[in-house]
Amino acid sequence: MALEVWGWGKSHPQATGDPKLARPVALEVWGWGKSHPQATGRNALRLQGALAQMFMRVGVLLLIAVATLFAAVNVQIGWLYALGALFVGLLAGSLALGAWRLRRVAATARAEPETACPEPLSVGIELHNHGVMGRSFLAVMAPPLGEVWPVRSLVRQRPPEHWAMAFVEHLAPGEPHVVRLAIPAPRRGAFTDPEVFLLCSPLGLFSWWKRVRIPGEIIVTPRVVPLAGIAGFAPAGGGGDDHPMARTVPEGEMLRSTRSYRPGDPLRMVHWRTSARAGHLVVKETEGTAQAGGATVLLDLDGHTAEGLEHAIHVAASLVSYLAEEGFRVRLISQAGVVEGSVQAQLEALARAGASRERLAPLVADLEPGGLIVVSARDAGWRSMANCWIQVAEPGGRPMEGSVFCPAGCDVAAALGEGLRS
Amino acid sequence: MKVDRSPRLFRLQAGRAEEEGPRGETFFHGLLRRDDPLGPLRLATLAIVIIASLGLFSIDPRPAYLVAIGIVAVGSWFSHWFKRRSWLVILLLAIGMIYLLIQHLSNVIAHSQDTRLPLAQMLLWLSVLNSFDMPRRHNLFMAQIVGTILVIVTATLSRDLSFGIVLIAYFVTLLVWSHLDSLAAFRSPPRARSLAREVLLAGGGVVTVAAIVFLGLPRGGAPVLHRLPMSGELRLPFHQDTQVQNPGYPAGRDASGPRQANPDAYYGFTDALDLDYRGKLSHQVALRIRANRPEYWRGMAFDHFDGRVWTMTRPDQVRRLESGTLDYQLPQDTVAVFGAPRVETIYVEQDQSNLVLLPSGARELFFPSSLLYRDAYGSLRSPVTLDRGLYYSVESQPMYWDRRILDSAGAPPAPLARRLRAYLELPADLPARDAALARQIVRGAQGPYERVRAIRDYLRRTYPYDLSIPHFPPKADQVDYFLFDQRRGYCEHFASALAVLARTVGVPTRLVTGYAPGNYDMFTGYWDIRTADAHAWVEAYFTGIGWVPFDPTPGFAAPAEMARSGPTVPGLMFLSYAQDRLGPMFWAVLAALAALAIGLAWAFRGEAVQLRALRRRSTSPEAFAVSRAYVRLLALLERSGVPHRPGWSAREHARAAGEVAAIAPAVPELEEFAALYQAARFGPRPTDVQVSRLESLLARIRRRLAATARRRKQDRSPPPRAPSR
Repeated sequence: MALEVWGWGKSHPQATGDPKLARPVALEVWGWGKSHPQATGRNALRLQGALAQMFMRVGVLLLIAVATLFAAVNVQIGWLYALGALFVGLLAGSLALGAWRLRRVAATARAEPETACPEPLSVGIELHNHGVMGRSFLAVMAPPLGEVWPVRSLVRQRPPEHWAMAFVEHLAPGEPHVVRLAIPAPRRGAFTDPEVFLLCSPLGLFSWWKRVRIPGEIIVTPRVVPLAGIAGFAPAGGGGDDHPMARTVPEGEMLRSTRSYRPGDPLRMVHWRTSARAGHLVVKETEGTAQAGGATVLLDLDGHTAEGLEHAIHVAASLVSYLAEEGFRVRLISQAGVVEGSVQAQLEALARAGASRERLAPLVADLEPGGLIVVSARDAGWRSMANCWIQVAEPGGRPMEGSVFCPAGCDVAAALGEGLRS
Repeated sequence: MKVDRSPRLFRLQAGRAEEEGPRGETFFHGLLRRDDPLGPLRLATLAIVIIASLGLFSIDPRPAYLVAIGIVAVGSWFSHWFKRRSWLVILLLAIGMIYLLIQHLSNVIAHSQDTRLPLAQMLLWLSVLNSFDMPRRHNLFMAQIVGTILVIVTATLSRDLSFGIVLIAYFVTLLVWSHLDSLAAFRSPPRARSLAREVLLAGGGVVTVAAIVFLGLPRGGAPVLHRLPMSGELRLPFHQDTQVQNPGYPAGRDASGPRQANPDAYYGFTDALDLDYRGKLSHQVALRIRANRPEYWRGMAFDHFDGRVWTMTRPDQVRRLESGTLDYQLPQDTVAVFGAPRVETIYVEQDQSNLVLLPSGARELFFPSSLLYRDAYGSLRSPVTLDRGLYYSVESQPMYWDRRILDSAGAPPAPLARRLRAYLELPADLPARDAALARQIVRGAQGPYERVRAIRDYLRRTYPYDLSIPHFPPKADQVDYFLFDQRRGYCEHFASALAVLARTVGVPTRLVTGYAPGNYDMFTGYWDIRTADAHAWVEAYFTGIGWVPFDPTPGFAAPAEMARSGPTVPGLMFLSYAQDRLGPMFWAVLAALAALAIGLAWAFRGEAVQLRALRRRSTSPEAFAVSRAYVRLLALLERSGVPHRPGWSAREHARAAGEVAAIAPAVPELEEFAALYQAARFGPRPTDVQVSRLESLLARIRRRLAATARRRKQDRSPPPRAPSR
């Protein structure tokens, strides 16, 4: 039996964000001589910390059972013996039934290696009943990525609302059963072997659970907000104060084909006529889009606050996506290093990025010619609304005048706009 | 790349749906709506409260309880319809609870001798109030707990097996409630079929554990807390009769003609016990006694015997005992070794005489009358008869007698001998052969105790107990006729014979009437004493010790012997109880159960034994799954006509199966299965993927074979007959 306690304020080893962000307090009581699953690599069966149920359902029933049997022995009333025995039977039945139902049930979980915040991670959990008889009422549940099972959740009478959950009414022996879970991914990061729980709580008293790990590393890329344009970086043709202007295929470009709209596609590429016919948005794909120039997004990860850092990464991810979409050769420079090439690699780097006190100057020294956007996690004080400091500059380093076109209410727009006003 | 378009615009308003109550729908329809996750749980909670209330009604039938059930149903509907907490409702409920508390306290003060019924009533009305405030799952849990406590309190009030119906209904509903509560926690809607399966499965397990606990818990332990309930105080008449009153024999002993016993009352509870009474007494329960050991319940004693009738020489010599607190300290006039104190409560189920029945070693009596009479023979008489519904408690200490001390008892001193003269008197016409028989029996016996014991053992050994004997000749001495002519008789004949024979050898004796211990009911926990358990035995006097009971009737243990017996094993008690209840059917039922168990074990031995052996041999769960799939395939093939040959490989079995027409459609799957099985079984450690594929192949083979069998069956069936013109 092992007792593992994650103390208040300490970060979970799987959390990649700022330690201050982590809210991990988990009390795990490993039950009754079973080995730690991480030590053996197997899904050990164990009694749930039993705090909640012990205090409420089980505690109350246990108290009633003991009082009834005490009264039975004291006053020698047979019905009290029968009632007390039934209550004991109910407790023992719940305990034994839960253990039996999870016994010889194996689970393997597989998931896509990547998702974009806040898109949920789709996980397939294959359950195998290696027993002789069927198993009933198994719950498969998972906390949002990056969240551990805190002690508070044990005190609750039901799994937290925001957890992903599926319910298996009957698991026949010898027939695999696949359960799909959409695990919320509320924050970016790289998560190693996230957990899914297989839980059984017959008669609502004792709960038994098995931990199933999703093998490998799951990358949750930062949240990306589609931008309509950035002054100095947007291709010619976009304009207007608040409304992006749709336009036809740029001159000199050949229309190659059309395809369904994907989030992030610029509105100007929507083929409205075809969309009206098809009933859904269709965008144009062109042959040999005119190659835009280079663009550098300089991300300063030296943030004073965790929120500022997250916001800066979110802004940088949106910028990188926009620029790549517009055909720029994007370089992402941060204390974590220089990332060039595919936007996916840059988003992955942003997913892994953490606060850093290193200086950016050595990296800025060999800037290539081209547009530069500086995103900083530093708190600028008077720019508290934006939480991060953004400077859009010409290749020569002179701040540009211009406008940013974003959907109304977009926080990136607000941040960029504020940066420009400076 | 996925892009979040509007993550913050749509947020589920959790709990909003729960707060909006449905309008214009029937109660049960509303409770069972699919979109109301708490509807079935609410219904189960209501069922528990109703069952608990009906349980109380079955014990104390008052119309107010039925009204309460109706209000609970209305309250549940209100909670379902309103579904949110209102300060006005909470205020009204708080006022109601304060009123309920005041009522309860006044009830407790009024019935301080037994507070169970006031407590049950308070819990019922608490459930009524609670039913108006059950918007959430937690409130339903609390309502269920109140209902459960009401069932427990009701169980303490119940004294017969009819409560078993309430208990079974409550238990099934509690199982349903628990399962629905578990589903509600996981936000999963209940389905009738799975609910029934779960209740059956979980119920079977719970009942098994409960039966083991029920049969394993020791009975007869000493109480930790003493509770001495008694019924409400009796109203005493102005003119009080100090004599023994028996409603079954209002005119006392019938002096004319042959005596015929009233089946509902014992003729031994009168001023004179005639040994010529015949007739069987009723098997109606006369008393229910809560006691942790079997006891003899002493009613009264007789000292004078005229050869036919036992009477009291001093029937009017009574002493008044008065107690304003209804608590009587009883004197101990016998020297003995006393055991641990015990508490017994006697419930009168049929109208009785005015004799207060007491166990041996009674120390303190809690009786609902401020006045009692104690006669010259240590018996207690109430001023009024003990009518149905009356109950009282007594604290006693079992008495043990050391044989050496009893043996050493000598002749009484002169003043005492004078007082004991009445207990040594013999009938004037007692034939000499009785005294000769007594002398013959006690030959070689040392001391009075040895003599009495020798006579008792002789009577037990020599004469059978028989309730079908005819009337003895009117002029005959009843004891003499019993000993030498009839040679069988009632307990009164045995007791009279012991008393008379002991007197002939100089031991003072008296005949005592009362009740034998009766039968212990394991479920109610009460000793059921029927009118037919009325009994007579003997008390013999030993100098320096006092009166010691002896029972010469065969099949009855003497009170002193009974007091020594330890707690009975509950499992054996249950068998004895079942045998008592089922009578001759007991062995048939036992044999049927044994046959059923053997049959079940035989039916399930095959696959279970094989799989268990496989599991032991397997190195991993995956290896076991692979072997199990193969075993199941072989069983499937065997049913389809391909015998299992131990020397064959999986491929050979598959090949042989391909030649059977019925299996031909499944050959591709069979071949794939065989190849995969051999790879998994004999390769490195099998993987989950292999196990999964094998299992899905097996399922597919099973489906194909079933489909083929269905088709062949249809082909074999006769063609439909052409319609006749």
